[in-house]
Amino acid sequence: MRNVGIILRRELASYFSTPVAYVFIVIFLMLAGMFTFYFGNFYEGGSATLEAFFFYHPWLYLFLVPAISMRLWAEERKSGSIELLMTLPVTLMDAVLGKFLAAWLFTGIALALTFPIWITVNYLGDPDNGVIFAAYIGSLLMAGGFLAIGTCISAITRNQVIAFIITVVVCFLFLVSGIPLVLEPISAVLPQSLVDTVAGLSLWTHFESIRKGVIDLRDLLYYAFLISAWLVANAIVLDGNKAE
Amino acid sequence: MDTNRTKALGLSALAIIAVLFIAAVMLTNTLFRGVRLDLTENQLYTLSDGTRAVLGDIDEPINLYYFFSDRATEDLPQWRAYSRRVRETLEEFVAISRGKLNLQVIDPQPFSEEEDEASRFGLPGVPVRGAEDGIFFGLAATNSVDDEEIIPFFDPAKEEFLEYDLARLIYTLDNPEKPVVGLLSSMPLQSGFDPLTNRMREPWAVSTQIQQLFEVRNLEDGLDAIEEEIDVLLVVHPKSLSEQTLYAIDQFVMAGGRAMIFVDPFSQFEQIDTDPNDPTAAMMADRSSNLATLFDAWGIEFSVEQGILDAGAALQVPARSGRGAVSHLGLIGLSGDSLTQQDVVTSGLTSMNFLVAGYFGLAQDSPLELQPLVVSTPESALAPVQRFKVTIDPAELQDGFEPSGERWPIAVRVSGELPSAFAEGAPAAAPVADDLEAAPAVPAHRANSNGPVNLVLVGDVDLLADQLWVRVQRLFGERLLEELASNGAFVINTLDNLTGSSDLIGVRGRASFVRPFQRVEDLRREAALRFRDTEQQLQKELEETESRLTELQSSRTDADNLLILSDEQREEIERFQARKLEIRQELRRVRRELDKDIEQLGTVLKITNIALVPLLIILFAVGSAWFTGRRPKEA
Repeated sequence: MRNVGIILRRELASYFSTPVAYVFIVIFLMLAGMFTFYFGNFYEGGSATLEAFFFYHPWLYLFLVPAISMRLWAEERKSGSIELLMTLPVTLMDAVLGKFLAAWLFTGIALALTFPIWITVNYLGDPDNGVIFAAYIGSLLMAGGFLAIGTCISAITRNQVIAFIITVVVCFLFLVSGIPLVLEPISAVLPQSLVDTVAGLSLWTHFESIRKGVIDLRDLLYYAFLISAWLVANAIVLDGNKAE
Repeated sequence: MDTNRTKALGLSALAIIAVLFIAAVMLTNTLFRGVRLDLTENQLYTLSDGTRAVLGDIDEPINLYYFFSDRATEDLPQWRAYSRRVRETLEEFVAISRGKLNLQVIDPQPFSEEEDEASRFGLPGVPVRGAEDGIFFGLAATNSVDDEEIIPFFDPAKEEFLEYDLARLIYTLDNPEKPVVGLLSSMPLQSGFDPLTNRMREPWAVSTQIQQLFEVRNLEDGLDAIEEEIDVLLVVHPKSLSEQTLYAIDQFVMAGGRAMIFVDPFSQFEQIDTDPNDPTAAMMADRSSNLATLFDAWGIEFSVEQGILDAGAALQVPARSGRGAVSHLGLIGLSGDSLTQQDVVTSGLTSMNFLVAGYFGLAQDSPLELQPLVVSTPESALAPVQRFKVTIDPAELQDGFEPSGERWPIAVRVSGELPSAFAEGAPAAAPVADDLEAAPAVPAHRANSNGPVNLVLVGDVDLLADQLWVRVQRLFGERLLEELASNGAFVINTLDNLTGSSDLIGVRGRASFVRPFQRVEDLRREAALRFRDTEQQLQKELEETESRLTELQSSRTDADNLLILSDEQREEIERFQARKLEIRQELRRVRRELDKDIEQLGTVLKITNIALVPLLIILFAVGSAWFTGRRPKEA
């Protein structure tokens, strides 16, 4: 566990040593704000909830999270620093976990910096802060899910752009498997239990239910399984790479 | 190990992980249903125990068809928000019904089969502002024997009763046999022929509501026994009932029967036969009712000599002079802590209106326990009933009024074990005709109650009359009821409670989930206040100018004046036209000013949220880069 901590700190520091991290946070915050106010009509809607704010999070993450995750392993592989990492006295899982947690923490920082919108909605009206708190948790978990997928895919290829594109596609599939646009056509051909299974695999469905203000054990376990599965897969892929 | 083998092993490991992941998700979805933390302030997603009990008791499957015009409301976020809330509540119901509820969500688009289906269930397309066509927003439900229940339209104004309405709909379908209410009444509650007006009489709203939920059996004075099928006895204004009937009531209560009894020291709505030779006779007639024989024996005190005056809850009535309004101390609207929140039948009610109510108490040796449901305010006092009889002007009731500081119980629940009021057994029966075989078998006398009794007593009968709590309107032949007080809900709640389905009663009144931008509303109100005078003044001036202009122009079209429009007149017209334009411009400016503060606030918030933190981060990044860049030089 100590090793995980060391890798986490090293990784997190490396984010802020380049302007990329700042650029990422700035873009995330500006887009989140613009989506909320312009597409979500937050102010004109006149309702003291952050629905308009959280509604766009899945779509924001869809493009921004792969941008963070694409370099995690692809860069190490390309520059050869992965070999150096593998010679250190850390296990593969320590490295995977450390990198993932650093990226997750970084996303969490970006998310936390959206706090002015929480203050704004409290200034304007009397929102249900329990719901907002739950939605933040849900958003963070969803970001974790996206990141876990992204880190694993980043280990598959040396090319960051390819890692980015594949991650977007896979995350997109995980996202849309829960939206009515996809579920309705498949419910016409598949039995309801299979449709529910497909919907049950969706990042969207599980985020939606937390966003309402209800933290269901099933949603928490879903994210735990999703993240663990992709991280274990990540370790397996890296192990396979070693053999090459 | 060769590379190919490692790769194959790796791939199969990945496949196993994928399968495990899917299996784990599916398993948790079925295993951990309902383990959750509701973080919403008003526990919006936690259904009350009452609803859970109703849903847990469903015997046969119930189909729910939820109609919402999804596509037609794409631009109506507020309707969509409420529809989502309704849908989520329904899904919640389905989730805890152990598979007994099936929900179908239907979007009835114009000219579609779904629209026909909605019409078949009798759901209306309701016109709402902003939608081109009427929108469907209702629920139809059927049970296994094809009974149908509908909620025609989910009114956002009734949001706090959403859970109750849904639970009641399901309860009704699951218990298609309505509970039986035995009605013994001397008041014209139901429809029938009115000999005074020679016309058919409309039923009272409360009676209509009772009939929707219960099977009502009318009972007449002189009955020997109350049928066993009757779940609850409803006695309204009992006037000089025969011994036989009193005995039947007593024995019904002794057998564990539940009853709701309305008595009154002075009922304004009692129909008194008028005597054309003696007009004062009607005025002085006895308008009281009581069940003294039973009450005395049971240790319940109720006086028909005195009625309650309450300055703290008096309602306004038009003054006799015809000008203004005056407080009527006998006509009272009780709300707040006058309606106990501890009892399921009154908790959540907003207000109840009474007219010259009496009060209840218990005799010292009474075996009963009394819980007040409705009490007067501390600014009330008792007055002899005689005063109500002779008073013509309600203002006179204020003469010499002194609040007693005491709160008088107007509606009470009494419970406990009781001895029969007829210790000697059945009273001697009136002589009966020869056909003894036709007479129903009278059960054996019960000297004591069979377990604790459960009675609700109300010291006013007039609260049931439409005039006291509901405004009835006719629209296209339909009777529309607008409730002004909760009198009807109180009666229904009590009957619901007494017929045993008390689960439903627990499901009442949830706080609303609508949370407006209070600050924006305040700004709007302030601006409206600030500009109201200017706007009104300008509006008035504009109207005057326009009418002056019309006047001038109409004089121009007059054939005589058409050609002889003087220069002065022309100038006058032009001047007015110019002034009109000016005023309109000014008015537009004022209207813009109205929203200026709101728009300004919006802009500030947009900038703060979109740019402020990013700007600070950029400054921080540049600063730290500059700082780290300088450090080595200093070293």
